Amino acid sequence: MQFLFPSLTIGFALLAVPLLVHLINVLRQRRREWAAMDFLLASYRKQRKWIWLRQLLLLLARTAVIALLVAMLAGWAGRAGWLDVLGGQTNHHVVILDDSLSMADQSGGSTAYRRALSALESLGRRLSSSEGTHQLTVIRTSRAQLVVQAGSQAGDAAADLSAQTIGTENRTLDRLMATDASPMLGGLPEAVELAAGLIEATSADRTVMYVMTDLRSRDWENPERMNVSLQEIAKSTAEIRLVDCSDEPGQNLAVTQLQPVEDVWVAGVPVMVEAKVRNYGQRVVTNVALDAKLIQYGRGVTVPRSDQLFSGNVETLPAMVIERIEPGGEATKRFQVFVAEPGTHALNVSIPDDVLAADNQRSCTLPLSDQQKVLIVDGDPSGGAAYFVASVLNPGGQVRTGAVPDVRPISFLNSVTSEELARYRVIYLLSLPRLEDSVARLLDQYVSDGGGLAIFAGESIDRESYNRLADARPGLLPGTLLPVKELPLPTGDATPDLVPTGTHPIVAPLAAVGEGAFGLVRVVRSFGLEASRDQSLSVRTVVRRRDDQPFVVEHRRGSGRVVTVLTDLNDASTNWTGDPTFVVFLLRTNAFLWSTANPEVSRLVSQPIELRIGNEAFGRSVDLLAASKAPPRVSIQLQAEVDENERFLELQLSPALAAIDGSMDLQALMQPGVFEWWLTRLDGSRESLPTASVLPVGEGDLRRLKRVDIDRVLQPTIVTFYDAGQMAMANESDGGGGRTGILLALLGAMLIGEQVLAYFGSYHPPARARA
Amino acid sequence: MIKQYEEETNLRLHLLVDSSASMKYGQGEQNKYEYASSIAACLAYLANRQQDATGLVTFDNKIRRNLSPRTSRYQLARILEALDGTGPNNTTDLYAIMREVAESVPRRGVLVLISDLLGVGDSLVKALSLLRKRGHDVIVFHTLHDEEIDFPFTGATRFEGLEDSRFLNCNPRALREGYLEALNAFLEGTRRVCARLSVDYEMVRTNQPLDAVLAKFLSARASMPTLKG
Repeated sequence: MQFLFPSLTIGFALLAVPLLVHLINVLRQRRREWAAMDFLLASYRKQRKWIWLRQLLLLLARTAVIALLVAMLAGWAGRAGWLDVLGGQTNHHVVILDDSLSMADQSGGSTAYRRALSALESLGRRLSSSEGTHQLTVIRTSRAQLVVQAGSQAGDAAADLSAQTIGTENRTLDRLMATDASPMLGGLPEAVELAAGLIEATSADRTVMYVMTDLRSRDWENPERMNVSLQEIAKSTAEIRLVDCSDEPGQNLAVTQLQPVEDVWVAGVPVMVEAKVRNYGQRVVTNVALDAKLIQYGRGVTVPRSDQLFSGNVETLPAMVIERIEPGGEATKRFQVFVAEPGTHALNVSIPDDVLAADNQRSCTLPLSDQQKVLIVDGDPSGGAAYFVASVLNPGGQVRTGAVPDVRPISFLNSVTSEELARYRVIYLLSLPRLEDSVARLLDQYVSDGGGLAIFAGESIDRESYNRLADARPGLLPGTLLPVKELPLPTGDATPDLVPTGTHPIVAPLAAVGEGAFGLVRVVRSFGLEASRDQSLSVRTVVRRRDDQPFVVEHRRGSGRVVTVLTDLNDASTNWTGDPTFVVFLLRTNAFLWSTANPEVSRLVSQPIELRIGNEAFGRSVDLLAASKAPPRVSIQLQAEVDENERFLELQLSPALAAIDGSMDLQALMQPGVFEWWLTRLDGSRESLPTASVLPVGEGDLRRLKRVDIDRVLQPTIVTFYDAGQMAMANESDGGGGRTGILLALLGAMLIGEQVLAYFGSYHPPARARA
Repeated sequence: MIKQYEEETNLRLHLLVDSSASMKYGQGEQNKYEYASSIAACLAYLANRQQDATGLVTFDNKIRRNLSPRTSRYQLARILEALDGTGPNNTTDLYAIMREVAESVPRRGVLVLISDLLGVGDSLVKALSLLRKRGHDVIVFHTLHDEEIDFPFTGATRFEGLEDSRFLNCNPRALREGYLEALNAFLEGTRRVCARLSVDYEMVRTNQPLDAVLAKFLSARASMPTLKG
């Protein structure tokens, strides 16, 4: 209960007066000796109950009169639903609370999100002391985004408060005060859309929508969707207030990428890791220190450490410095990581803190397998081509590429099964004269499931057979093989016979060298190709001939990739096998095809965290140590489910579903960093499996749009701009229904009631006595 | 030829004055006992002047004074002295008193009962029946105070019983209606009983002038052989 003049509430002490008067009257009654006691007592016995009731009602009425009088004088401003029902109007306040990552911007002192919370708190406080009924709806943009992502359009599911009547105590609002900005990107359009639905579904005399946001430029780049919702809201006569919660942004750098370069990720083979840092600021930054940490998880790590950020062994990698990043520019730093033990490890890089701390670090996992076999099948019984390939992939000595070549004859394919093929990471088919349909089917399945296939199509192959295969199983081959085409002899200063396509990852290192890289390579002839027009295959030329005919092409098939080289590896067609570029090409091709089946090294914070482990190796009980800014970390105990085939145990934790059903701590689930699955083997020992959550890229861009520009963007919707600090002073009294007037009317009614009760209670002197 | 004459007879008048505690109510001349005594004295005076034998009984739950009817010139003084010497006290036991009176008065006479009849209950019927069966002419002066009839009180009051220890804390205004209802029922019941038993009943308020009360009573009794004004 709140009062405009709290000091006057001392008047409530007067509530005791009627009771005291009653007691004094009892004590001060006149004594009278009486003869006709029988009649008096008879009368009393007959009316005793009514007399008591009337006296009680009278006492209450007098107390109520005093209470109302004091409440009116003290300026009762608190919430009283019963009172508001009598005469107050219902006001619905809908708050869109932008809790995207950019709201964590600390420019100007506190974060923009904290300012928004303060504004919300002051709004709540003001509403609780304002006249009329005030309902408050609060929708955080992150929750709105997750709910929409989960396929729901229910504003109630996204709202922290849904048309909740505001009182002096509101625990949900208090809980909101303890939240932080989410790691999500955007979300305003979704929140406004859900709010429009809620506003339409909620009956109120007056609706005010507050959008508490930071006015970042990128939020208004595509305002069409939001505009539609805002216009819908404006049509329902709701007032729209845009509350600016941020200050002018300071310099912000963000780690926008961290991942191992596509390659063979094998223990004992150095892995290149690529980190990118973007300068979202307005000025050049120099000498940006990049700290990298390698967290090794292996058989030796068996104890979950919730008191530390990582349970694995942390190794700080040599410090790196990015010399210069232009405003809006991005710098890439590559560094090598070597881990001898197979398993999934983790990496973390960080840059010095700035106004937006959350994007100053990024993590990824480093899944390193043991060496794996690659299958080489040569159509030439002499195995010449196979030798070239095998010697590149396994040069011998201390050099490891991660691949273990397994050279097999053509006959191997006649009896091979899909299970056997699945054991190979990459399959090389070197000028096989023809592919039987049964083999083609297995290969198609192998690639579709994520395998890598390299086809070398020399002159010895049966082109018609391959083309029939292309027709029968579209997608396994990049298109229709055309007859062999001779490459005309070079004239004058002609370019080399082969030209790499610079953007393709297989030849990117060679392209960086320039056209001279293939300077010594000679190509006599190769098959022509009419590439498939199927867009899903996305056939790309990796290397082309001087006459623009494709020489090496790559395409996708299901989850896998296929690289097709339109020539033989014998000397009659080309001398490429003797050129150093072939070694580079083959290693890169191997890495490219190998990485097709590489696991994801990170997931966006808003995506589900998934686990899939062997049913026969692990128990169902699983612990998840959540990522955290600082220890201690939250440990979540879970039970994995057995899949349909009973081969795997599976678990999926979806932030979107958690936002709807509240089954999990959403804030913990969406924390960027390294999460650790802790599995229990059937022998009781523990094993950890790290997984990395990363922030979406873009929220680090803190540039703001001017209010006038937003006004223009939102035309014809009319919005009123507020600063977060002004919220405390915004007037809400127009929403009241004149509580003072209602109190006065109640007081009058109470006084009349008191007089009536007193009359019927025979406390008024009889007319004869007055006369 | 018709002869007309008037026969003179000697009347035996018994004045029965209630001196129970309930008769204490009222101040000064309006005190019920004082008023009852005045009625008794007046009647005694009138009877004495007519050479009628006049007796007096004052009673509460017992007979306090008992003067046998006489025609002596000193009888009036004795009656006045007896009335003056009796103070209202105790409860009333009307039936026991009347039975005792009936037994002590063998000859028929006129019995004048002056009382507020409060607290007598059903014994009133029995007492009057008894007297009437003995052939007495019974007259009742039902003496009540104005306040007992109108119940004009206001303000919180503690009513304490005069004849017993009962009391009631109340707002009298709240009980007035019920009180008057009960009182009127009592008065009506008393009137009916008296009418049924052929008892002359006269309800008198203590603020009524005594001469008016007696004049009214005597004129009503004008046809009676004695006690004429």
